[in-house]
Amino acid sequence: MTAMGTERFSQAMSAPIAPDSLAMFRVLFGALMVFATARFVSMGWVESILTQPGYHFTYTGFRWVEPLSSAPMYGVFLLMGLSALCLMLGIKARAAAALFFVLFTWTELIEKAAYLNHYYLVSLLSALLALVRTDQRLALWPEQGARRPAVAHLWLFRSQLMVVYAFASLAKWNADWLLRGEPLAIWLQAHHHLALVGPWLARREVAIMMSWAGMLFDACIWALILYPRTRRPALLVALAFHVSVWALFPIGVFSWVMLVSLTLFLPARWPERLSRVIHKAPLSPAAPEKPLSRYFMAFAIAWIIIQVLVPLRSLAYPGHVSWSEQGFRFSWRVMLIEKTGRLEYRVCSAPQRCDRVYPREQLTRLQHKMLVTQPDMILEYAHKLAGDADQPVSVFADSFVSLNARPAQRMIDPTIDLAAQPLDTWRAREWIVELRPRHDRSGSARSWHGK
Amino acid sequence: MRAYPVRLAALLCCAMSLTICSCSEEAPQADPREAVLDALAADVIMPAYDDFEAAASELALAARAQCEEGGEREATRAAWRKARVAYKRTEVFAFGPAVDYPERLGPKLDFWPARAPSIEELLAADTPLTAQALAMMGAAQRGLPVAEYLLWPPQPTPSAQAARQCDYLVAASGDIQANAAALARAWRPGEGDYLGALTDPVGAKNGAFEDVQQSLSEVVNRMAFTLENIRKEKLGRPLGDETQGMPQPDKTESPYSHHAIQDIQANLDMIQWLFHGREATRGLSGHPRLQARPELIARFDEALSSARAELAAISPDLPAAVSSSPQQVRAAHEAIATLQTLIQVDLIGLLALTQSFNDSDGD
Repeated sequence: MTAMGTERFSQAMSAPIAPDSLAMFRVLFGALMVFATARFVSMGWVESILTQPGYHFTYTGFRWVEPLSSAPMYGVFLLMGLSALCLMLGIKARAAAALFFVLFTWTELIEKAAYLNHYYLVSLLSALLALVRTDQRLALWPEQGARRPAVAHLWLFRSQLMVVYAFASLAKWNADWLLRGEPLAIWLQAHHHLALVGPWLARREVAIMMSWAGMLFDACIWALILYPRTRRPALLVALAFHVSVWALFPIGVFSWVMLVSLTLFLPARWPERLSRVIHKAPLSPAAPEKPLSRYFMAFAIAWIIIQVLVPLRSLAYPGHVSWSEQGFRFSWRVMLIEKTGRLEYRVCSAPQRCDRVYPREQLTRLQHKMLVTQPDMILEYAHKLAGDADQPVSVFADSFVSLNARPAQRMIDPTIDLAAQPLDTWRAREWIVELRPRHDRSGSARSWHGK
Repeated sequence: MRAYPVRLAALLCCAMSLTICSCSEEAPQADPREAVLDALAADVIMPAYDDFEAAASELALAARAQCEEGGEREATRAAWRKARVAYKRTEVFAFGPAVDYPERLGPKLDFWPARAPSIEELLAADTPLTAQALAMMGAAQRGLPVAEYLLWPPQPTPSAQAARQCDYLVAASGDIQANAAALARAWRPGEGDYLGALTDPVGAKNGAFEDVQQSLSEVVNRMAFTLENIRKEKLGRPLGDETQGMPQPDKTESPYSHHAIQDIQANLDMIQWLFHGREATRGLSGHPRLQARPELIARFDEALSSARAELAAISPDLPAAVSSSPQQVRAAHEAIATLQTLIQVDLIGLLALTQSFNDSDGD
């Protein structure tokens, strides 16, 4: 881009916009986070997920993150709820968002088994709310100075959400999703007992239809809301889609986070009438405003590039990403897989001197459920077992997994000593056995004949 | 005119939906999970508890006949074996009445391995030995393993202790009979009706399950758990899976009667019946999702046959084989692992009995 082009782009991005949309997003997002925090506590998850387990699965680079004991952990959640409340009310909104981001992200880093895509999205959105002023409207205690938000601020949020939807749609371009309706067909049959719709939901044709609808929805809903002529039906579709997903699947506040986020694709002044009623103070003139700082622009561009590159990292690994899960997390691969598994370890001090470990007994139900199908967690627990031994040991895994109703097959090469494999590496994990074609029954659960 | 593209798209979507739905051959069916659960309840579960109740009564009768009327010990032993097989067939249902307080009938009936010191202590004491007295005692001093110990005493019984041993056997058998009856009552419709809670969770009074999905999930998960339990506790531990490969023959089930393999075969009977039905029904294999996967049914049959054959090949019995031919015991262990994988991974995945969403939320 030429210098003139850069300047024009900067000017365009610096153009002021009505603050109402971003302010309303902050209010709604803050309210949702107050609810989500209270819900997390009321469901007993502070104890069952964070403080009670004797062992936690952790993330590369964040292995040092550990939970506090019970009382201080509740204190953290109280502080988290208060910061979300301040964010909602616009009381030092950026500081509140920053505090919420730190506390929320820290608690999410404690237990990898509890990873959810929408928790990650909440972390990202709260980070952006800590960086971008959204308190020019609907705020009890705004920051000093009344500078209006700029186009770049709104589009930074929009870009983040476009990345989410785009990768969620792209991830659905596979035969399981589009041709077989899996895993929706598996999940929807669980609703057979529902009045009227139940028997229909249990049909594969309906699952396939819903799969296509989901893929198309992710691909274009934000664009349809942006475009004035399709906005109203698109909003209705979005509402119907997310409420249906919320009703059919146990996905907590995910649907509501996405619905709230979609309001960012409405015109910037959409809640103007409401915000004027509440907040009558005049704003500074719409123009002229100083261009946004270079640092902000550089940060925004870097943020978006990183957000695009992180999901693409799965391309650097061989094999089926839904199987190996290398590059699966933080990639918006939402509702794509139904995996079931069985896992045992052999912990050997010599070839014929092995103990067999059934990890179900040492872990919570959630941890065990996640462990048995996720290779990086299987590796991590193998290292834990090796670390617990009072002598040098080799650790082997007997792991059988079914992906989206395929026949079960080995996931981990049982001849590989996992304790000798590096725990924190970006390299491809060659000890993950390749996913067999769906109709290849040769490698069922029976025995191991090599890869 | 401007609204045409949107309306056209909506119309196309509706037309496509109708076309796809109308192209399929069958109308929506009744919930197959309810049919499967009803069939299992009537054909498999309740008959198994009825069988156990009847076999426990026979055991109590035989023990009294032996001790009070001079009957043959071998007849009591045969009655014990029959009761043991009947109980082991119900072991899959290690939930509900088997473990729920205050009854908690499972441990009262089958606390194993038998604690010889606890039994000997009671034999040496002079407290009255009646079924009512045993009902007040801990699980280590009652149940089928205690009756086994008394019927196959590891040491010759001193003549001075024979009468008390017989009293203990009669009391233990009476206690087993009472608990078997309580277990059957707890399941039986019109009484405890745990069967109703399982098959009609929405209409049931006690609300043990939220819906049929959860009920079916419990049954199938218990099948998998039973197989893991066989491998871990009944074969693996004696093989040395917790002791660096050092065999532990004293850790087998039913060691005095040499009945460990038959115990496991009885466990497998129930796995087979739950999958295929017992008399008139088809069990899980009647579920349409499974009917659409005949190769999975064939693999189940093959794996079950293989597991049974490998178990039958263990000789002379499990305690001896873990030391003399551990490779044969390991072969049985592996064959059961194959069966476990089929149920825990293939079947549970196919029937959506666990979901990948985690316990806190999804996805």
